[in-house]
Amino acid sequence: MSRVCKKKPSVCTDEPLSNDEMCHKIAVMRHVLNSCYGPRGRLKQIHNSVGGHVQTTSTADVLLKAMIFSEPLLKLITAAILDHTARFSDCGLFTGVFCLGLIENGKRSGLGSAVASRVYKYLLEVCNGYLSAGGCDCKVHVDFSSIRSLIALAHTAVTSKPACMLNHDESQHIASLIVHAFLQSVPSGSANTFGRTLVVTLEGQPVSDSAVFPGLLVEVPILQSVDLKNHNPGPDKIVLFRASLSGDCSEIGEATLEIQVGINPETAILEQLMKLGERVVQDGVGVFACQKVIHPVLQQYLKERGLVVIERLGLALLEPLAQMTGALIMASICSPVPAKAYGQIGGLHLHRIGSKELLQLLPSGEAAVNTVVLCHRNETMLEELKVTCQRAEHVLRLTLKEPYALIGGGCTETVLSAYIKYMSESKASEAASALKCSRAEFLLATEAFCCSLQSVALSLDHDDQHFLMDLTHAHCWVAEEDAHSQTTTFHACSCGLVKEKADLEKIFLNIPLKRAYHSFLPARIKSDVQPELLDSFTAKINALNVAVETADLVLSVKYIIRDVN
Amino acid sequence: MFLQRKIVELRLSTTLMSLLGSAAINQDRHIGLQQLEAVAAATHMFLGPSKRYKMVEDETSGEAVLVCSCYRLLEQLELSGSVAQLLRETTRAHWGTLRSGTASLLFLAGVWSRVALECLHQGISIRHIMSSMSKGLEVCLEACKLSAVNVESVVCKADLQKQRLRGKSQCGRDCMNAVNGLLWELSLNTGVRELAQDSAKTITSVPRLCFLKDQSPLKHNLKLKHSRHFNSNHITDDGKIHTRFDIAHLAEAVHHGCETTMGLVIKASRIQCRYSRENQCSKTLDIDKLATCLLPGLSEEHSSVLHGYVVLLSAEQTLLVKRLQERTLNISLVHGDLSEKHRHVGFNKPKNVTYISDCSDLTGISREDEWMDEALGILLNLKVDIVLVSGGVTEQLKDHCFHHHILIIEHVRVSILNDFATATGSLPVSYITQLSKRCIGSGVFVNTLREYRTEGTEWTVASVATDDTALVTALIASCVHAKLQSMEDQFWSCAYRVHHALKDGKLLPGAGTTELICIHRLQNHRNVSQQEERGNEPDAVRPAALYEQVILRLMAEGWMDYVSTLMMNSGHVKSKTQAWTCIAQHLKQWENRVPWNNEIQETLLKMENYSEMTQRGGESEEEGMLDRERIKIGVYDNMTVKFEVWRRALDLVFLILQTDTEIVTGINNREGQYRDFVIL
Repeated sequence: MSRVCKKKPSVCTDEPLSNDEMCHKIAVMRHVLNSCYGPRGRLKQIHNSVGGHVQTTSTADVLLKAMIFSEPLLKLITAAILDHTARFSDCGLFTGVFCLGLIENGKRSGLGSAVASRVYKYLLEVCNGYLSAGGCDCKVHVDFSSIRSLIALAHTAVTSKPACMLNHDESQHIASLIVHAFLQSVPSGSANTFGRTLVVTLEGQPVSDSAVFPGLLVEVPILQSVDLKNHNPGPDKIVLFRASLSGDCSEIGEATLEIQVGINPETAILEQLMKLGERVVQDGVGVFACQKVIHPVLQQYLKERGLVVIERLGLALLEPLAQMTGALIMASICSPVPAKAYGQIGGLHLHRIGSKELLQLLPSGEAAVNTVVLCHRNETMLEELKVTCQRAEHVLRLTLKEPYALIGGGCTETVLSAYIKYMSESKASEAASALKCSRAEFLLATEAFCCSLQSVALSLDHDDQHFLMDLTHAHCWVAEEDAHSQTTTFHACSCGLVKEKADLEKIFLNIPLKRAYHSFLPARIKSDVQPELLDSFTAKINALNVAVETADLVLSVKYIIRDVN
Repeated sequence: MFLQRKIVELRLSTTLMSLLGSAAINQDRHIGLQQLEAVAAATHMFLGPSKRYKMVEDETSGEAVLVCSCYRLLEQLELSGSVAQLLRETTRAHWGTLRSGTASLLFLAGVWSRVALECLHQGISIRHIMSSMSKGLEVCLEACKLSAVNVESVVCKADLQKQRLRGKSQCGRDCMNAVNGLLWELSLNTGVRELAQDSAKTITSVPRLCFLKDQSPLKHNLKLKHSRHFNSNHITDDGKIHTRFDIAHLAEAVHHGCETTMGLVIKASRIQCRYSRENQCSKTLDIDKLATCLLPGLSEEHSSVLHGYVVLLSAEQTLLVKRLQERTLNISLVHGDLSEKHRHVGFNKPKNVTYISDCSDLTGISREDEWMDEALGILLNLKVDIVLVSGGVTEQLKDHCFHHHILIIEHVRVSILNDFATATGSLPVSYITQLSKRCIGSGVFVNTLREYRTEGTEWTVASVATDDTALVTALIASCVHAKLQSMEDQFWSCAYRVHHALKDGKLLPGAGTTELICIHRLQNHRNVSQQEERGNEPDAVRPAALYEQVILRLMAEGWMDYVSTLMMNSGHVKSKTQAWTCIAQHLKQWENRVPWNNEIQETLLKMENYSEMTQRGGESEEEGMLDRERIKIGVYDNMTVKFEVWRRALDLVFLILQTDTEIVTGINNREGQYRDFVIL
């Protein structure tokens, strides 16, 4: 006898942000992201408490993908951050810290959510306008005629993740590898598709063994390396398969089959495979590659005829291989391979790195595909290094779209906050009337916005250091905490653009009483010094927008209705 | 009694972990470091050459496992916290590539966690701790790199020394004079006896000699033809002596108290040498061509090394092997299982298939039988005598093959298949139907070596070999079944130590000497930085330099702890205080002798002398050695292994030091057991 359960009614939460528990959770979330930020950020260990693999990370993308949230608001914020990182890789933590800061500060200022979100939107426009204008002080032009800014961008991205555990030389090496790989992936004039950079990781080797190889690297199983040692390394024809050549009939899925006794579907499929093999051999193909498994009988047939067989290539390598060789990927075993589907490779090389044997497939033409081999001592550090390198490479790639970079080390945030404060104070009355709120409300919301921006810069601090802002250029300065002498000395601001001068007045950002200052317009810097820390321009502008829009959305949520069945 | 105490200690540390682990998100107490320290403390007895077994008991099943290395211990313990998991992953990765040094890894991870905790306690920020500790390690690595000695010089020294001890040839004394730095061996031998009473006195009695000259290539045009040990030498035109490189000397330098096991490694190298086609074969130990075979129930002196792949066969297979013994055999290799049901990896069996038939099948021959006949037919047709299979084989087929005199060996490692493939020209296949003339290799011999009986079963040890392979199997025998695993591990450790020594070409002075150099360098560095500080440095650097001093001192203390534990474990001293006094005295003597700005070599010279002192600390079981007229080579450690251990240990400490939050995924909070957690 079956019992029918009555459906439970949906649960509706009124004003979710006024709930203390919710606020606590938001605060915890902000702390988690906040504490990850920057080169001295704290790491997070993620594991499943039943002996599974431990991930150590301070990358927003990795962290948020691993976490599962139960609160709808947190889910919403996480989804926004992950969408951002999926497109731009960089500035995930910035998005999170800024967005949660805006929510918390907006709530704390006691403004109505509608007013807060209207002012935020207005200020965002001011930010966008400032950052895209020519006279913006936080923006640096990326000069492709010199490698310096590219190296600075890559180096900032690499050093911002402490879980990579790189020392100074190692991070230099990795940064130069990334720039190398990036430059190789830029196509020359004739090719119109952008190249690719793939990453292969090797645990146990020293970081200094990491290198960039042109073409693709495929791991070779132990029993196959014997055949490959005697192979001719010259150019060859290649055929690529996406369909499984394992000889099973898994393609039919869940459907039921009725088979007459005496008919063996396996032999039938194998016959088909062998026909395919014969044809390929006739066409003079040298390399036979498949994304999935190849039937051993077919493999043996091909190997006996001198072909190089690569199976279990994986989806991640299939597309780049097709791009590199110009081969069309075959999706079926039933039709013969058309002549135009064959591709060309420039050659084969067998490399032995550590205990692994890797087969290098060289491009024959202009295709700019290359592989970065990353080595590290420890699995968890290697994983973080891989993610970091991919992110850094993406950051470099973004400069091709907009050849700008933003100054790093918190200086962009302080300059931006000083600019916003100045602009809104000088135009407070007009803006307030345009936004249909009082001047006081407008200024409160501006304060919340500027505070949130500054708090991102302050997130760089994890060791009770003092963060200061100068009152001329509005750059960010870090004071060494010194128990022995009360004087603090500076040489340059965080990003390295402003040098210390005697008349530079500074205020403390993280001591509330010393924070008050009269708004001013950040003065232009007249020097030809290159900043040492650079962040991605494109990624940060988008992060700024995502953060403000998400914060507006969260602030304006009135009810949460949950189906609890 | 001893074992029991150990178990209690272990239990304590594990429960500690589970208690603390539940307090998940916790920023300021640095529980992770405390956990690391606690686990490390439980494994102190694994440090040094005289390791004691630990018994790990499973309370639910009552089963117990005997372990003798940190790697195996961590493998056996059920540790669920993230720190323990990281620790286990680190040791696993280390063991997987280097095969020794896990005890040092754990010890140092523990000691350095303590250093980090102490610094945190003193209010030093994580930033400073990390930069100073990395600097400390850099300083140590630099110093140790300079003190590394060439493998050749170690082996050569031993060779010359052998001469002297034998006293058979006149030229023994000549070489002594020729090679400076061997003299101190003489004086040391006299000094050894005094050592136990007053080690401080001995060091002053050791003459100052330039040992370092030993490292440079020997340029003495000696005629050493009388000696049978030098008869293979030749003097080339440039006047250099090319002494014979005897792997036994090298093996002795790195045996670390496992003389018997190292004996097996030496034998393995000799056999590989015989079958290897390369010229420089005296320096060979091919780690990829080593296998082990465990013989439970035989006493330990039956351990030996044999050419080829050695397996244990049942009594009935023995008869077959005896038949096959006289001739060369044809071999085929199968990758995967040998059965009708087996399909290659990646083949998905169709689920919803029904077979329909118009008439009932009356022949009664199943597909299995059909397959069996076919398989047997193929094997007989191709005249295959022996099949190596990486997976399992159906009993029926085994029986059939047995009747047709085909030997089938199951569960062979893929690397062995690979080796036979290269040696015999045979091609490994996945299905027996793939076999063709081209896939068959030839020139294989089988041999029965010994028969023995244990627990009512007759076993035969048989070897499968060809002349073209340098594959060697070490037979590891023990009456105590539980010890076999540890003995196998020990064999691999020894083999890898020799392998690494040959690969690096360098060795570090062992038995704690390297660590003493580190202590010395750290203290030295401290004084240097103090001197610098008096100069006009920028103010901002000053607090960092102050912290650095504290941290380097703590690190030096960590090494002291290491050396003293080593001395205590090896039975040289009775208590840690005694060890500390001993170490401190020597360090003080170095300080008095060496001005700080002196050249590094000067310092090193003294350390070398000291190395001989501490050796006796590390190698107490070797005391009777001199009586047996054995040659004292000295204890050496592998350079890469040691450096890698240090780096990994520091990595681990840094990873945990920098972690402030532990995130547990996939928990089910219905039971409310995670009340301390914040559920997001």
